[in-house]
Amino acid sequence: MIKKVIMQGLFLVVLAVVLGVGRNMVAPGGIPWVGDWGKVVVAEAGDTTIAKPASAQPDDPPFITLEQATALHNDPKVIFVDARYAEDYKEGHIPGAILLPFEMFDDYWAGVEPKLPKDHKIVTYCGGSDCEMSLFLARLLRDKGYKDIDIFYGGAEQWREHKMPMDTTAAPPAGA
Amino acid sequence: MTSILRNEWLGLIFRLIVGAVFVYASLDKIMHPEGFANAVHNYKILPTGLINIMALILPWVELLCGAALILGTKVEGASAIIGALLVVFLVAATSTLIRGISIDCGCFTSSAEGRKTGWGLLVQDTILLLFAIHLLNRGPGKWALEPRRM
Repeated sequence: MIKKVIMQGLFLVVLAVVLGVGRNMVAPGGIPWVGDWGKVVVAEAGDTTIAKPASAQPDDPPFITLEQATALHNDPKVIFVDARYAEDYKEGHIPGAILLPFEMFDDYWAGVEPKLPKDHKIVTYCGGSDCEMSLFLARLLRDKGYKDIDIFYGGAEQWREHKMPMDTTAAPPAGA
Repeated sequence: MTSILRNEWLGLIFRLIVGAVFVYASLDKIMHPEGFANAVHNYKILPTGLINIMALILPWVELLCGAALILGTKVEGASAIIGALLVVFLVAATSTLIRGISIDCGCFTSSAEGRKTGWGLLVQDTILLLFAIHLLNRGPGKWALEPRRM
């Protein structure tokens, strides 16, 4: 019985591998065998390195470098928005950043919206190289009607690595 | 109770239900591997190097096993694989609930408007798992291309 189950199962799996691999080789729209998920893509010529996720689309809001983020951070009219969870925010965030977790957007939005005037520039960020919530949040805010959004994909990770000041005060609870 | 479980028609009904669900679940994913790969990536469970391979092969496993159940051939092997997959799906979906993340489950469609992981999904997968265990134990039942047994 067990042998029969294993033989049948093996047959089905091997056939599935052959069909799956075969289709990907011949069909249009095939995908690479190994995707570069969340890998930091370093673009741009010269020394300006811009980190952006592999899933970034050409019509997404612009990605900015750490240098650009630092410069914008000195401008009091620019609002930084942290797309991570409240726990991550409390562990250390860019000073002045507003907490708006992408995954809990609806819970937080009512409390955050009054603090985000539409005529201000917004910079979204999250954890850095393995986190795409800054991008997703930026898309969401753009759909909400925000015109001037930048994405600092290097995020809290790059900010910390470069010994930039971090704030560890907790955010107000969701909706407040 | 046992007499109901021994009923040969029950095997046929379970085969058709589980088979149809898996065949249906596989089709959109086979057509759109990049969308399904995204769904797998969102779970943040697999090492990134394995995501695309998994996204290419898993839907075919679902299709073949589902078709095998509907036709009533290789039923034991197919229901064992489907049972194992359901356990994996249950663990993955539970982990998203525990981590408090709401993602597209990647169950029936690879598109972003798909259903989210949640309690309903756990219930559905558990019921399918019970059906699969029944088929593994008691064989294909009525109207099988390859009837039981040993």
